[in-house]
Amino acid sequence: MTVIVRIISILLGVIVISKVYLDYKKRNIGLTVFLFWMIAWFGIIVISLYPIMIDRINRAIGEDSTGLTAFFAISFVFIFFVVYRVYTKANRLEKMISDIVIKLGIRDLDDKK
Amino acid sequence: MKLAIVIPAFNEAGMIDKVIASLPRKLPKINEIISIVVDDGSSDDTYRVASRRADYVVRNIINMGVGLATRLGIEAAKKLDADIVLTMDADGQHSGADIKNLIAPIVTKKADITLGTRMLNSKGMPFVKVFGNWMMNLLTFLLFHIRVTDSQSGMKAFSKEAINKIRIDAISYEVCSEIIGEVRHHKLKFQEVPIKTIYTEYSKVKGQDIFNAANIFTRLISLKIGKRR
Repeated sequence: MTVIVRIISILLGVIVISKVYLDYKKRNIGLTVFLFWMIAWFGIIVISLYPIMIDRINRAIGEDSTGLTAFFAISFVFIFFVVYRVYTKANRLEKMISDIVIKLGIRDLDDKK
Repeated sequence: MKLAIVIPAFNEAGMIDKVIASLPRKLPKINEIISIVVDDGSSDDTYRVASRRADYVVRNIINMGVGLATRLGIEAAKKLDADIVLTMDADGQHSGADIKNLIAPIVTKKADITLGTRMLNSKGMPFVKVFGNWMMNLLTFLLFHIRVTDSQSGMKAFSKEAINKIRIDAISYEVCSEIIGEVRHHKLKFQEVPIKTIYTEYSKVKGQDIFNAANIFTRLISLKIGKRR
């Protein structure tokens, strides 16, 4: 089971990294966003290959709880944060596009009147 | 009184002329009738064909969806100082003969919004559409607490007061339920009026797909949560 989870994580990681790289190359995203996602997904791949690392880091900072549990909890919060940001941005963009389309349509009418 | 008939159309070059031609030229207590076709970024000849017969044709530069096209049509009607706005589909499923009944309660000030209902006489409507409609009526009731028999009907009429009050945020088919939500929010007077549905092979293909229900469902929930008052 662990092997399957690792393979899936690496596969997803590779797909996302290549997509992020292409988006950066096509200038669809800026350098900050590119670096952020590259580091995040490299981190995910490393952790899925060596999950023991989390426990080592945990011990090093003097935490008692299982590192992996804390990691998943933080990941969960982070994912929800990203989903929220994407949702609000998409909504805002949709509203902006709608307003532009309506304004252009009405301008068309003004020209014809 | 001035009546604006708004017809949102997407790739309806083959039908739009017939639909505009079927509109009434005279109606009781109405001095002027204007037709406004909203071409929702069609890739066919809809704009050109509609321009030959309609009084006004406005265009969405890209295909956005029937919700935004309806909003644009209503905005255009406002700009043209219409007293009553009526929306109807461009696929030929609505009959111009029903317009008189739909606007009558608005003319007599008995209603601010009327909704043409196909369900009081659903003969000829495919079963999947009857079922889909029933599901959407239930969802509309759960979200907006108004019981209607045909929440997804595209044939509606609005008074001037109603179009100045309601706010449409929907982009796509969820617009029908959103308008019903607006009726409740603004405490508008509302009536259902039975209409005839002309089900041809063409209109059956052009209508909303049952598989679109999941899409409408998620968009309605999102709309309900995201609507800022």
